[in-house]
Amino acid sequence: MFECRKTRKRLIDYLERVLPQHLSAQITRHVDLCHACQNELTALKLTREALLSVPRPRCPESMWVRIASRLEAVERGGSRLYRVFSRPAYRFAAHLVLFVTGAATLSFTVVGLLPPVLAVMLSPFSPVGVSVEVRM
Amino acid sequence: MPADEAMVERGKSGDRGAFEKLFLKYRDMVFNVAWSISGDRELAEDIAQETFVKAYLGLRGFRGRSKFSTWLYRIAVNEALHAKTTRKRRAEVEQPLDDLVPASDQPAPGEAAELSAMEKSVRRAIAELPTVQRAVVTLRYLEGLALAEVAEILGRPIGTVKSQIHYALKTMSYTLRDWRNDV
Repeated sequence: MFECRKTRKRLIDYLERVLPQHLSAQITRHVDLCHACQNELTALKLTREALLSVPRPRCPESMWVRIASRLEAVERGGSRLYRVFSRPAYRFAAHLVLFVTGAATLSFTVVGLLPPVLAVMLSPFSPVGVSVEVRM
Repeated sequence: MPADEAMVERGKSGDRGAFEKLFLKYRDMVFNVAWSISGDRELAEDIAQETFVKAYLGLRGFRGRSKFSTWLYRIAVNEALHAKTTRKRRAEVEQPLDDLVPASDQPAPGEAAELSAMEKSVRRAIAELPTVQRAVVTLRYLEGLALAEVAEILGRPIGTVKSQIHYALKTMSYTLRDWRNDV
């Protein structure tokens, strides 16, 4: 005889019809003979059927209008930045800042590299032939 | 209705009309999930709205590894769970939980006329479940999804989903039996 404990563990699988055939048959035989398990199965079955019979509610008709408004508000917030930088004066200022920053970076890089470059050029082995002591 | 994939691709390039078609197809589904998990019809409208807004804004990140519907269900469930937690925290701060009338006992205007007595009983029984069990029951029975898809949406093993279903059905069977006896 299939035990009650094992039966009750498998009742959901039994209801969902995902058990192998031999196990399903065992549960059917047990439930036919055991009132307690039969009552539990009936209760689960009725609840399941009640749930399956609940119709899906209708979403309010105004929902799309609300969503569209929200999306527009989000997109407006993001496009504010674009509108600012699309004005010529702001574009010029942005380009100027970039130019100055780039030039400064380049200058410091070149100045930093200048002593070693000079040392190479002015060394005794250089075609130029002038020797200069460079302090780092 | 055109396939979801085509609408998603058009939505990714900013075609609002294509996204609206997806909205029309899934609005009732999202609203149902939101209402069942939150237990509050008004809150469900906010949840549904946020779900679709997030879906639209996140469309470019949707890679198509799962079905669009699965992805949308996931957003809806997460929004509903988050809204529920936020609301509960706010209620605990502002008002003792004992004093709160369960939201599902407060019918929205016209709701009493729309729902049958049995539907109301079932929705009340769902509202009394722990949140994860509500989500499981909603997806499996109210939405009719397969166990594997429910597990994928919730990010849990199938065995866990089955256990949650068992506890939920058992709890609901007692609740519904009590109401039947009262009637």
